[in-house]
Amino acid sequence: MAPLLEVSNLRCCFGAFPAVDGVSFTVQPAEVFGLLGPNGAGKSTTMMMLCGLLPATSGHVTLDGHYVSSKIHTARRILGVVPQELAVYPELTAEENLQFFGSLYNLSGDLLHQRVNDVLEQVGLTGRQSTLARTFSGGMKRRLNFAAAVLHRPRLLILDEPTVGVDPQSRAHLLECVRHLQQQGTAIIYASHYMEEIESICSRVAVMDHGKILISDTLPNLMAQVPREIELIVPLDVPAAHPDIPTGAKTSITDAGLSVRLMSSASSEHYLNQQLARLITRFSDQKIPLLHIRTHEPSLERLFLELTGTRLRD
Amino acid sequence: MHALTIALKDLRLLSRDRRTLIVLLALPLVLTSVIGASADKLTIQKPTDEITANESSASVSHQPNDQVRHTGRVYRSIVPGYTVLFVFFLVNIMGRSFIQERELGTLQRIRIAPVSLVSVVAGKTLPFLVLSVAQTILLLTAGVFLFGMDPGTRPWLLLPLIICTSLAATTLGLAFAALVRTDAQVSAWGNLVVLATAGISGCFVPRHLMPELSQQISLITPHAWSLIAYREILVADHPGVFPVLSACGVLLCFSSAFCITALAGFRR
Repeated sequence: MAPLLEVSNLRCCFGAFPAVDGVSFTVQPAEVFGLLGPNGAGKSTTMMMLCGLLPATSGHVTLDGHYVSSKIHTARRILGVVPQELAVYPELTAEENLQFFGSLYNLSGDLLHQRVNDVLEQVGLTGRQSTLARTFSGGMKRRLNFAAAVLHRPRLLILDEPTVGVDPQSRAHLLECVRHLQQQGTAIIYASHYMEEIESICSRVAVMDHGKILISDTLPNLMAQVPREIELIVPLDVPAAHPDIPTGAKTSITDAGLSVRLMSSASSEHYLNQQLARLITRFSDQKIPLLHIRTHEPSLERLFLELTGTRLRD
Repeated sequence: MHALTIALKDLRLLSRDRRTLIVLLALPLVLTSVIGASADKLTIQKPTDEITANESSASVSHQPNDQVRHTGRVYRSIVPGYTVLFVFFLVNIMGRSFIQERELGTLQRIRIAPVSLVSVVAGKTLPFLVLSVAQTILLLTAGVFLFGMDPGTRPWLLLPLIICTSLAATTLGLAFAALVRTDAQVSAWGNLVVLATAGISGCFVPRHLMPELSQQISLITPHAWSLIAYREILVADHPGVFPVLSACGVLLCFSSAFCITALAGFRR
């Protein structure tokens, strides 16, 4: 199947600084594609170029076969964006906001009225259509922000941190709306810092940092690259270089004691279990008490931190 | 069509923004009345002071009928000056409107839609143009009916002048909005631009009382051309159509230059 969106070797430089440096990916129809990256990774710049708001220094974006740079209005008709900001007018009612944004996509009359009612119902704001947006709670504003982007039924929807600062109920509702759109055939690019959201709705994920895509694959394939970890905590008087601790294990001093982390990928699960059994036996023989033992299952967050590091980003 | 959609939305927002409406409509009326009343007293106390060059031979009398005529003369000097000043106060309000749209993220949302930049710019300008024309008509009407200002022998010439002045003010506001990035910049630069250009052009002091060099320098502002035309319409015994339309032409040139600057600024 031909991809709906094709991003090819996209670059964007601010002066000599490459904010986006050779990014390539595709998004298929009815696919939810996750875009992860720390602050300043280049996600927002990439999304700005996808919408044609920022010209690319080089590379190109095609949406449904149209070059975004040359057929911008054609591309924008099938594109919807849910921005991170609550981009609605506080002094307009929910209905007035939606009617205005719908009119920008040439919706009018009964069709506009019908679409406004449909999306209000979809985001759970039916009955609040005549209320000024400024009186809405954070969750309601987020849902209205979402509704304004899907009125014209875009074929590609870009969501940039759509659930920031909302309660679990609104978050669950928004994620359900995303799933519903995907089932209807809408392709979705979902950028978020909430890994559990990405894990729950995305079929493919790309991790970006320093303007480049570090990894891009299906979620199961990405998870397979993350080792499972078993962490044992023993008293601090046990030396980190204890002869029974396997050479591949990571040791560190924590408040609870000496942490010994045994790691294994999914393919060598059996070897990890063997190592663990051997170590417990040795410690038991030497009367070394095990203060704590816990497992760290593979997760997107661990992969993300391994790829992008733990250094704080501005 | 999209420009009209954006304009109607902004008009709706403006109609709900009482503070802005007070600043644009009520405040100029009150200030013009207060300043007019003060100037009126001042000139009555000093009958030798002349209101306009044309009226230099007409000494001010304390007879009731003459006093009404005199008050009208004071206001026909003051009302246009303050009308032009307040019309250009739109620069601040337009700048703020754009900053607010940017901060809300709604401007970006509009630009993501299949709407041309020209439609966005026209849509954002139109409501302020309407407001500006309404403000000017209100001030001039108040000048005529409340303060006895003489509208001159060809008051219809006011119409193109009002529209051209409002156009120059709104496009200057647009250019300003394209260049500023923060609310603090709007406050600092907006007030500076509005007050400095008003001062240079002769909004505060009647132009004919300004030194010749200052009058020449003032021609770099659109305000000055507007004031020249107002003076021609309100003061001349037989206002010429050509001088008024020439001033309107210059105001349109200013508007075009401001528009080009704005579009270039928004494209950045």
